[in-house]
Amino acid sequence: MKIDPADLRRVSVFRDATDEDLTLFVQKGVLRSIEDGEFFFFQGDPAKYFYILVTGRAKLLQTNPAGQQVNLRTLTEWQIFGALGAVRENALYPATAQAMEPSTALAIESDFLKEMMQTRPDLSVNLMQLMTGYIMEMQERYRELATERVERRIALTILRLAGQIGKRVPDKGMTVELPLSRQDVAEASGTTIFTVSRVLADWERRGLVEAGRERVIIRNPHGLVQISEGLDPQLTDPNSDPL
Amino acid sequence: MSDFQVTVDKVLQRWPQAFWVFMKNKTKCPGCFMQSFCTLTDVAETYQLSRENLISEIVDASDKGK
Repeated sequence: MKIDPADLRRVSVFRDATDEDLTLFVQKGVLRSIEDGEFFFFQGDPAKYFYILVTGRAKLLQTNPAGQQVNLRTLTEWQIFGALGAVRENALYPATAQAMEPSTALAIESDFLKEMMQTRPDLSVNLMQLMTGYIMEMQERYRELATERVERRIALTILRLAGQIGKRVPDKGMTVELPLSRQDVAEASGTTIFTVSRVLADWERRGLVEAGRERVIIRNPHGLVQISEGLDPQLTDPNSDPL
Repeated sequence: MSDFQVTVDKVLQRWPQAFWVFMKNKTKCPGCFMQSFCTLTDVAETYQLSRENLISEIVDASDKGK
């Protein structure tokens, strides 16, 4: 397989590069083809090369000491990955890159990109754009995880207490009333009254509960069960990568 | 009281084999805190199942379990 240097313009970092520079990058690069399930690099390896996926599909995943894996990102054609060595001294890859189908990537020494960036600001700016994009995405996910966690806890607490002290409201469909204040819910779920108020107000808008002064009425128990199991459709974006 | 108005906890007490019927129909009922409030009618509505089928499945499962 041969790469036409102009193709490299499809890589966001290289979109403003000159033809001469792109030719240089292709000349410096080595094509690596691997099978489905094989690896471009492992978490913890020295980040000597950065990669551009030319064909196929790959994923970046992290493993914790207990061996649990988290998929961080799915890579598609003409995406750059593993480039932190161009910015950080003695960097190690923070994640493993594994092919999800037969894939080919162009591997180029990170030192070369670093050298080029000294005199080509567009490379630096484009790389920064990519990095800030990742940071914003991670912040978003962090917020989602943190909110989801507290929402699940509150939903579980309300359901648990309802199972013990709730009363079904007659002739009101599947409605259960609980003699609990927001403070009670906060204490039982180990969070603050502010968080409980915010979450209950949101659920009220969505028709899941009704929160009075000293009572919580569950209007849609199954909706709460779904939240308590982390299956809240409002928090689960089917287009986002699995985390 | 019609069978449709029996709550899930009562169903499970009376017919323990019903556990597998709830599981098979992919409901979250086994282990749910709302068991003492939800009737079979509520379950059927929530999961869009036929009440009649649900009951007959529970009866079948219980007969087999004996």
